[in-house]
Amino acid sequence: MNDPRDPVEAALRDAPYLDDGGFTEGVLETLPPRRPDRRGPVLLAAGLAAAALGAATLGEPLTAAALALGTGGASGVLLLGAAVAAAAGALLRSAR
Amino acid sequence: MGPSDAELCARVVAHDDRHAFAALVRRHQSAIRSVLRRLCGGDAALADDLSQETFVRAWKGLRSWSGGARFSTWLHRIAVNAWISQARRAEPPVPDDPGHQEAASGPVEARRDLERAFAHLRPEERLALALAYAQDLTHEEAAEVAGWPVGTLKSHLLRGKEKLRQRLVPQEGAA
Repeated sequence: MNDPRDPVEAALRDAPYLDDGGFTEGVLETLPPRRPDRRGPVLLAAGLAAAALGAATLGEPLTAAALALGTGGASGVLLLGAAVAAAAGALLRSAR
Repeated sequence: MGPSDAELCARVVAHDDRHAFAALVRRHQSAIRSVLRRLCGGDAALADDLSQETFVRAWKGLRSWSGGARFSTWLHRIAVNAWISQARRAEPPVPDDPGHQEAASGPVEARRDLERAFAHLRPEERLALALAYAQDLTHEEAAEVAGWPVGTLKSHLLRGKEKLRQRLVPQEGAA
């Protein structure tokens, strides 16, 4: 079907490489502006949402922990440990 | 050799990486611009505008490229769609010379003559010839880009080539 001596066939096959000549640069200039990096704000929002959810779920243990931090000292640390244990317990109970 | 098209696309999608996209444009610009020059009947300025539109559309739709087809096949499909949209918007072109063309004096002029001769073909013949002789498409891929069975592509090819022959090749006995 394709005769290499056919001048039309030869002309059709003759497609030389076109130099870029600034074409790529022109395309890049017309691209939409760079989208802002939303990872930081998204992570912060997710962290805050998680904290709010935790506070709503574990209200009392968190209050105890805050008190422990406020009073300080060895008794405060013990209280904080108890709060963490209570929170873990609450989580385990809710998971069942 | 450099990174593959798929690797470059992944970088663009994940990190908005414009250097990776520039590498893709540099790699495929010649093939896309050549096809569009033929589709546009030798109008290089229009072909370059449509090529630019093709790459911008590709940038916007890169997430939709599944990797099922080759990247170049996907790009050619975008280019053909851009050409079809432009043809719908534009007035139908009036070929400047309905008769036989004088023989070209050199290879560059011969190439331009060929591109101009495309303007005298029916759109489906133009599409078949431009895609089937594209730098990096098989006939199967060309048919896929055009949305035709391979047999349909081949029959448009034959008719288109015959018309080009009548226009470009000096006929025996012609004055």
